Amino acid sequence: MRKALVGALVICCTIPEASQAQSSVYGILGLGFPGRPIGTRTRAGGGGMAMFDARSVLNPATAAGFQRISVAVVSGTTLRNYTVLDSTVEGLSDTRSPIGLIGGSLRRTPVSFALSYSTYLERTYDLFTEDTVVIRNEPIAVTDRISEDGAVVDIRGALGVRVNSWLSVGGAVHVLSGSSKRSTQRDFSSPDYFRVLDTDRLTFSGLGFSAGVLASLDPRLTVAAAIRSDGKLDTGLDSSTVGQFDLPLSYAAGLTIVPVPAVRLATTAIRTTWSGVSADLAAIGGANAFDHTWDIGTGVELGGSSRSGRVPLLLGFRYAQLPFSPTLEQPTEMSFSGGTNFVFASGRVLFDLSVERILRDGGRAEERAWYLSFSLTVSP
Amino acid sequence: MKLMAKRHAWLSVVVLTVACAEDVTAPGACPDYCPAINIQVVDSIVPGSIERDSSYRGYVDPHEAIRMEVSRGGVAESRVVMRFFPFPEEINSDSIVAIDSFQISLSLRKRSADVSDVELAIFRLPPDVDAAMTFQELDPFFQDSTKLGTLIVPDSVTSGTISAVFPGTALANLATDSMVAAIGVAFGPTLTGFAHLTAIDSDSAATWLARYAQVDTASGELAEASDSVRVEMDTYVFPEIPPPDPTVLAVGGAPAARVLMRTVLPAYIVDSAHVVRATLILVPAGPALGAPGDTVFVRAQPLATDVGPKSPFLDALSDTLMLGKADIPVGAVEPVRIDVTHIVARWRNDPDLPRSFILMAGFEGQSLAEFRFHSSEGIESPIMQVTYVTPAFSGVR
Repeated sequence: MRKALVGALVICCTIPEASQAQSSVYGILGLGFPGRPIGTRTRAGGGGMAMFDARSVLNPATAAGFQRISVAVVSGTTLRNYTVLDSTVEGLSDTRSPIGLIGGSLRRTPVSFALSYSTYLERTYDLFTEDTVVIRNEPIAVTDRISEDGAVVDIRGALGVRVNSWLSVGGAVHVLSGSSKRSTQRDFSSPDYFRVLDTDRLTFSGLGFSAGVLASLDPRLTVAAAIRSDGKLDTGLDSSTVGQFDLPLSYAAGLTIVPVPAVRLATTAIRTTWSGVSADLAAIGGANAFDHTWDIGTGVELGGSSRSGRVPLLLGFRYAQLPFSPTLEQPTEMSFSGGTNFVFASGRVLFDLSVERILRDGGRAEERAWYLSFSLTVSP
Repeated sequence: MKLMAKRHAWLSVVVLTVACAEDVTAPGACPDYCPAINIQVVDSIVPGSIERDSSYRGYVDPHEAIRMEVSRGGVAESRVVMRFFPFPEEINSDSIVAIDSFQISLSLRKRSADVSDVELAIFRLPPDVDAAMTFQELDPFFQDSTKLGTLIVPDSVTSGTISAVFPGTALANLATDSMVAAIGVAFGPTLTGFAHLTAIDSDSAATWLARYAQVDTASGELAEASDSVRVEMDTYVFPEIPPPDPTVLAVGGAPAARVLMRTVLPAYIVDSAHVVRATLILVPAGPALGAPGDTVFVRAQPLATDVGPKSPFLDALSDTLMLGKADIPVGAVEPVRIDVTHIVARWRNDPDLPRSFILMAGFEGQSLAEFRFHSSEGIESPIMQVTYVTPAFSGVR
């Protein structure tokens, strides 16, 4: 009953805002805030397991890990504050479903598949500003409310092949889609002026490919590597194209070490080149984008496999650079995370939980957030 | 399994506590952390924005108005004319021995606010008066010889019922006039100003004429009795007012005049931008006409379609009563500004609407108050001042 309650609640919360990740003040700029296509368990471990986790969508070779049908849905809640110069904003919160996935194997073949959605770029914010303008020689106070609600979504179809007992390879096609509803509202303090409400919907489309490999060189050592190339992101407005951006190329590598059966160490590093976006944004006078970012996560899992019946403890640390900034200073993100998971129904239901403390700094701003993530995985 | 469920029940509490939270509204930290959106407000006086404007008269005649003006001074003197339904020959089937008195009650809706001791002179008119009679035809009956009396309006009364009593001999010819009484009302002879009386076309008409008489009852005894009659026809009359020049347009007056105005605002304002304020500026061709102390109440009405002077309105009159209006004091010569934002702003969302509107008096036909201004063919044509906001978004920046 309680599992059903948890499951229903998770689904209830994820459907309306599916495929959107947490908002950030840094997501107001440029193309948006880059999503993290990783599952809750991997988050708990600082993202170190991202290259090895079948419920993350970073390395298509991990799709080979699906031996039977599994469905996973993730819900994440952000509680955050930020400061920009002298302005401090507190008490912001939002709940999103940043990733959902279904995977399984093709019968009597070494091939498995995974179909997923995840946030590629988050574009949600809701801002208001106050100002005074002079119209007809009179100062008029105005309040502007500018909001955007949507995301660029990565819909991935991946195939993974178990080449032999220690090697898996995979490839994936990424269809970038999604839309964002934008709204600008201006209210005048004088009743002589009508309110302005301007809304439209930006649409996004693009195509990308990725490939990866996963190799267990030793029972205690596994390595992985992946590459992803996303082409152009076309942005449309009212059925016409209004912009095109050269999306980044990403390289990722990971390492897992199991020194003793109850301890697993994992690290993943991702380098993403944003130089194409940087040039495209510069050409239209947009936000400052940096040529590349690093995203490095390291974590440890104590207590052994979740399927062993014991409740594991995961701890992690992550350092990442953010691609967009209003200044020449590149913002960075650090996070400390922890979590665990619980197995129900003889291993057919898995509930993951993670808590993350996030510190973002740079570009004349700092942001502090708690990110609580839950995921439910069902393997009927 | 139950044990497991109990052990992890706290998970439900945690999930319930934090899930579904949503509050992303925050003050913007501009310009660093604001989207590249530039909300530009532009205020522009658009030359040549009005064309093919025309004035039409005859929408509401004086006898159709819900109020009637009695006034002296200003553009012309106006007098109210009323004819009552016939009195019965008897009162409650009792024959009338003698009429002691008459009482007339009028419904006052508005009066000159700055005039003290307003007097309304009541005159006896022939019983065959009708709405087609002119001021000149009725003028001979507004004499001392036909004066029934004077109705004093207390200074404390600005609206409501006012009444006066006359002796029974005041309408001595009632029997020979087929029991029909008709009266005329003129503004006090020594004052200038106005009073608006409720007409029978109003839902709140409360004008009546009562008689108080001695009757011979069925038992043969004399008794006092009374009855009253209501108004059958009312109107107001005034000397002919010269029409405006061909290049001058008129709104209001009696019979009521309207102006059909067609705009030629640029598409980049009406169709592409958000109009937040639109003002129609009219230059008077002379002082606003009307009784001293009165006001010309002009409003702009959007049209559903433009088929000329009988174009149907887009909204019911009451819906936009408070929008797009101007109160012009009689005698004023300053340019008049009428807010038409509620009309122009709708054109963006509904391109099928005609880019035209009607200017009309607030309560048509109820007074002589009239505003005349230069047309688009005049020396100082109407013009629109438009404040608009340019589209805020482009693509992604």
